[in-house]
Amino acid sequence: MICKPRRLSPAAILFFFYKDIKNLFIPVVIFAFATFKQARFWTIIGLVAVFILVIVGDLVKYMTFSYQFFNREILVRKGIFVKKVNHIPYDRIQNVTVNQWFFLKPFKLEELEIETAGHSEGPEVSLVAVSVTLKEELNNYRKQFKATVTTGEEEDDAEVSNSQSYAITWRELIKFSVTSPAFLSGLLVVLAIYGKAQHSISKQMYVAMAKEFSHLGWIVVVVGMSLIILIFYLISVFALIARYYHFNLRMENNQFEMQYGLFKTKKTSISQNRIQAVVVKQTLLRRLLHIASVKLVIISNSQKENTEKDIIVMPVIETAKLQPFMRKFFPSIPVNNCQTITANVGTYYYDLRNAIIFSLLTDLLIGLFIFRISFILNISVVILSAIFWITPAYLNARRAAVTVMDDKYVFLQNNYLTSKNSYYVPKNSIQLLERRQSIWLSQKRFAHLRLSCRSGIGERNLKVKYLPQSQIDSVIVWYKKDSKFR
Amino acid sequence: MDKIKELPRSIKAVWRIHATIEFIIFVLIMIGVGLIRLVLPTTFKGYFDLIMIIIWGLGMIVFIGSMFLVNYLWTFWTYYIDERQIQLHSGYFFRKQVIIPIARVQNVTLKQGPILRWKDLQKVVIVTASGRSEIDGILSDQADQLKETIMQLAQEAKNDM
Repeated sequence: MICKPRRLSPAAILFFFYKDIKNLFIPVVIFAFATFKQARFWTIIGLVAVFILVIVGDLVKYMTFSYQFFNREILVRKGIFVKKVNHIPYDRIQNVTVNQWFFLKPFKLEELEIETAGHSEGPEVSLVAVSVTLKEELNNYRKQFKATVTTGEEEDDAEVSNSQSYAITWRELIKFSVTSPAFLSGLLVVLAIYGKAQHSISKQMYVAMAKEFSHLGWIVVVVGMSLIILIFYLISVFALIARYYHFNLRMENNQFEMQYGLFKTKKTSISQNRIQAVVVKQTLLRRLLHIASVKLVIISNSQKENTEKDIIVMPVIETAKLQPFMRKFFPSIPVNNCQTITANVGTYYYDLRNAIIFSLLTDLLIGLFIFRISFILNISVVILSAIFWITPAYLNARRAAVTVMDDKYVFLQNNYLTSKNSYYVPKNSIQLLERRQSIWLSQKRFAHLRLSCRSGIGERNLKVKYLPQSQIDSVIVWYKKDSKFR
Repeated sequence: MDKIKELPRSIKAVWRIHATIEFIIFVLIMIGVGLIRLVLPTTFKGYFDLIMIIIWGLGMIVFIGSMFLVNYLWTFWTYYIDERQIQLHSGYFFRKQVIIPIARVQNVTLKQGPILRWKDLQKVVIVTASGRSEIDGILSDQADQLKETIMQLAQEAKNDM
């Protein structure tokens, strides 16, 4: 059962084109601006030439790109001078993602991305525009392959056939979007652009504008600023709603399948045994609203930042529903075994002590510069630095925990700034364990622990600090017991 | 081979040579930077000298300190390998203990530069899916043997990646 090499749908050319234009837009615009005044004619010629080159390049890319399914692997060919042939065996596929823009729905086209555990940048295979039936076909090939391989071995998954599903409610989605701090980063980008633009705006105009503003008074400026922030906030809320619209999680045959999105529908499927760890994340604001997100740490080609590359398996869930949810979708994790240990007094002592030292150092450093200016300023610096250092330290101490759940899982909880992260980590995905202890801590019987897991293409360190030595050592004993876990 | 082992004594010389080479590079860079002084206006020369003296001082302290630290590091750097895991221990005042299960080892790399070759040592790099850990240097034939052992054990342990 080998099928012929196939091409993408011609619509792929448009996608290539869009991508190229997106990448080239800013440099080309800058270049055009720079040369337009001197040589109008040549600039236009240059722009047309770039345009034609891009189109020809995309056509060639389309013509030379083909894919082919075999019994054991997928083959992707591309390139014109340097021919690249990529072989991906089915059993090395980590996860498959399908993206579909709303305008492609009538044409029954979508983008299919295949990720492996390799170290390439971005997905190993990206089929930009293919028929929606292709994923089904790929799944069939994978199933057949799995069947031929596993006939000899024992099937270790007894509870395979149960299929579960869960969808988020509107209320949860709105709570989630409203509490997202994403708009702040958008705002920062705008401020940065404004800062750059400030140089190019001519000084006269700037002065004129400043005069205008001073006429209106500072109230108008404040109102204007808050309006801008509000607009950003609303945009970000809307973007998040559109992104996670109708989030639906299904589990079938040990595969997780997430489907979500309003304008761009995204479907991701991950095999359950690819999961490195499960994370429950809760920011301070969301904790007040009793909602949390559930994420998966997986191996992928993702290049993104540490926390962003986790696959979101459930963007928002009410904490009351969390336990049933975990039991339903992760039956192997013994959530009930996880009795919460109240933090030790010693942990508070060490964390707060360090925070106070850092806070005082900050005061001293800033104080050197401003101590002459005003007394109130000094006091406010002291208060602000105390809040800045002590709040996270208090939360660190309060949330630090590590316990062995059963033979297979360990539970680790820590705090990052103000968000609480709870990790459920299976023993076989912990690549390395590190225990640190200074001689003074050992007298007081405290220690630090670090677990290293693979995440994305890099390393993810799960750390807890200043925990009683007995807790840390019980984890070490558990980890050493039988690492050849089957 | 299941008792706690120390690194060979000759590694101390290697560490000292490394520290010296780093110091020489530091000195060369500092001399290069010092040439800037020739083109500086006199008003800045005072500040420049002050900064340079501080950096020189720090460099010296680091160099002398690392020379003295060699003994301390060596005394408390031990490793232990059995059929389940590799353990690395270091430090006395700040103790660090690393445990790598053999089943998680992806590959073992042996490295040998000219200095290590002169002392007949090899550096052992143990690579897991998430990162790498290093044993700075052990006797060449021991390293080969170690590599064999680890790889044999790793093959026995189930590969579930």
